[in-house]
Amino acid sequence: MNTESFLDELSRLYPDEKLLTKPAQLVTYESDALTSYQVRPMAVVLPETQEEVIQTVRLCHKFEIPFVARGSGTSLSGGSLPVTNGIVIALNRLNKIIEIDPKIRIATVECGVVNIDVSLAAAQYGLYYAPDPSSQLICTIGGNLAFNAGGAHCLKYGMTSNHVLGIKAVLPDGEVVEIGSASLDSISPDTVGLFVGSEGLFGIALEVKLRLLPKPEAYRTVLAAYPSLEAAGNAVSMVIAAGLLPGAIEIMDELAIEAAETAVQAGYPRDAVALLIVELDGETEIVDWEFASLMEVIEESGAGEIRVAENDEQRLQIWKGRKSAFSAVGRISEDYLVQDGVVPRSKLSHALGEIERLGDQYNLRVANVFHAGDGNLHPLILFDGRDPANLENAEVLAGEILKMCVNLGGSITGEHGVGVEKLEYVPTMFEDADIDTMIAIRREIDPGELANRGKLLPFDK
Amino acid sequence: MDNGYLEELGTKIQTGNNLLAFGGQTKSALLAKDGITALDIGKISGILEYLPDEYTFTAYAGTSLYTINQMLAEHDQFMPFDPPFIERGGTLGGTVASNLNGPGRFRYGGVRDFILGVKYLDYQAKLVRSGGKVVKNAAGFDISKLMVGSLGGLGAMIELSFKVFPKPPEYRTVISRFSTLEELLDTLVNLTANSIELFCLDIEPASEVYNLTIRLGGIPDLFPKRIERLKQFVGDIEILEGDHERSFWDEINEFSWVPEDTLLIKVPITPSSVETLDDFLSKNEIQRRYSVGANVAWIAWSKPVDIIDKHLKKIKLAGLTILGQTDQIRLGFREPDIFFQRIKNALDPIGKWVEI
Repeated sequence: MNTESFLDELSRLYPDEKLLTKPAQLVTYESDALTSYQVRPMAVVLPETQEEVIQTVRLCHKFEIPFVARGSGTSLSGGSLPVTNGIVIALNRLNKIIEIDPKIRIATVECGVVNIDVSLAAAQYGLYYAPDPSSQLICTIGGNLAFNAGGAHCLKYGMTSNHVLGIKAVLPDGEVVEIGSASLDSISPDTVGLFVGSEGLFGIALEVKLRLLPKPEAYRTVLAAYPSLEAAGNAVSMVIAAGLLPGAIEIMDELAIEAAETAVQAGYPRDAVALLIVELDGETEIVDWEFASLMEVIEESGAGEIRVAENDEQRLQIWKGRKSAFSAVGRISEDYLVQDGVVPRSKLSHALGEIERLGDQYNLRVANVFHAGDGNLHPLILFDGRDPANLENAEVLAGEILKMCVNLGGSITGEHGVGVEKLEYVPTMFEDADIDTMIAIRREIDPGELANRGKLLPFDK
Repeated sequence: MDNGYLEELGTKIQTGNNLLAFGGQTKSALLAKDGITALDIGKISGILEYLPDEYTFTAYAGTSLYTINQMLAEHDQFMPFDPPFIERGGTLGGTVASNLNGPGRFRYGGVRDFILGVKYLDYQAKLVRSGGKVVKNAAGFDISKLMVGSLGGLGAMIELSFKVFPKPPEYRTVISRFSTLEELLDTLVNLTANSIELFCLDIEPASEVYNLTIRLGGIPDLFPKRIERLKQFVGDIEILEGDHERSFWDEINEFSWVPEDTLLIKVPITPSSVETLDDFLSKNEIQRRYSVGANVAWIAWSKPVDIIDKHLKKIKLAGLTILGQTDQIRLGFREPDIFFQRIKNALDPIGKWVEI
């Protein structure tokens, strides 16, 4: 590794304003949304074209310099944490929506395009892009793809991987490949499915073909207050047992409600211990029929206050509180860790009870916001970052929660990815043979482990 | 499962070469003929776990689709990707390996969208797991998706976990006739940009006309209003319901329309490429269907295979032979797939499995 020569060549590729090397310029890139981890990179580059990205990766390969691709830095698992002596390739400027083809319902976009902008561009054709992570106003498609981002509507619509049809990528050695196609079907092994969620270890997706769906013509969004999390969890089971397939089923606990109210005044009932949000979407006739069934279930489920959004404004108000919950928790605690484990839906109540018990045991407050429809928990562990012992305690608690999820038959991550944060818990979910296989794939694609080193898989070069 | 049989498979993997796993042997063209070491996964069958409240099940790869369908039907659930060859004895593993989806793929997605996890025997006969059993999971490389369409060339699948959905209580099918494919495609594009929930959207070229067959699922009381709405797009229609409706789609899904002495070829297409392909097929008087909203062509090819191979190359489409006797499984346009080749090198470094 010859850093000086590398930087020299890099400076021939980028003008000064697009090659950041001064400490003050690098601070912004030292961490992503997992702010408790910070690493200062050697440099940050701000490419504006796919060719610049390709040339940058080729330079990194030539000089054996590790690189980290970064979009808006919203990863909650440290997915875009820089590597010491490595560079960050910041991709926000690769933000062209190359084509929206309404005939085949596909958007072809560059990796730096913001998630919501795909739906905004597709709206003129009555189409939209379904995956809607909470950060969809700022997170990018490249980041969504790398971490297989989810959102509130995964039970019915799936995750990012269910909506990516094709990828043009630069592999870590600079080779450019195109995988997948514009067709929904295929006759080859699903390499697109493998690439999505690979956490940047296979290189950088430059251009992505996304499947668009017709925008649902009707929504019915119901907010119900419950005296306990268990009661809200039971209501979810009743909704599923009724054979309904809502677009979204979400639950927030008391602390999360308080945070959301403090931050965005969503108008949630302040006296609720748990809030359930259920949203039906689709064809008007069907949604109206399902809504009648849903209301029967909710009324039988022991809910206190029940609110039904009567218009788009009220619907967005309900979602405003939920979607801002993570950042809202910042109002009641400057420091917090967000966990992302998954449990079988029927074990939600048990899992929440355990989280409460663990919180008491570690003397830490935990707010719960979760995608109840698919068992994806988001416990937010509040701690005092000024006290290293408190942070350590929070991390231990987070680990206990992840182990519990695996023991209940679930996963350590539903949509945030492993990143650096959950690295040590990978062996709780996978056997040696499983991990060895993933390492073998990684090494075949990237023998030097240059691409997003230290994420998802242990680095032991 | 009999552990002894797993050991037997392990020994075959360690000692054999050109390994190929198979299940119900329903996709005749995909069964390699000579010089292979056959691994009969059909012997590994049975449901391991079915959790209706979770919308998930786990079964051995050799479990028949029929068994799974029966089990799901008891709880009014189904595999929305509508796997073909249920009556012929198709298995879950075979469906994954060949990535076969029925017309119902249109509504919610294909095998790739419902597979949650896999356990497979690798080139060293080690049992490797990827994915999980819960409906949402982002941990690790998703090798279970990679297995979709792998044609037995990456390992022998032993166990598979899937997501399922509640099944609509009833269906109706609406058939509309168009004098040209172009006219039909205009309607199809309008329909697919609309939020009417369509379970199947198939095109059936018939004598002098093109039929657009649309399947709706849901509550019987809602059908009249929904069908009226459909008429605004498609004009005059014929409506199928009840047993007749069910057998209409069952026959399509069993490919009983494909004559025995022909090859069944699958070609992924788009609504933009279907017309070019159809020009060629109609001139050659070939039976065919376009399924999943014109995203896949099913072709009953009755002429020398090199003719369609050459034409697919010309129009830059690729095909896979599913049924029939031929040495040419892959047809048409193929570019070197560098990314897949590296994955193959990683998962099969000593070339144990059949070439795919």
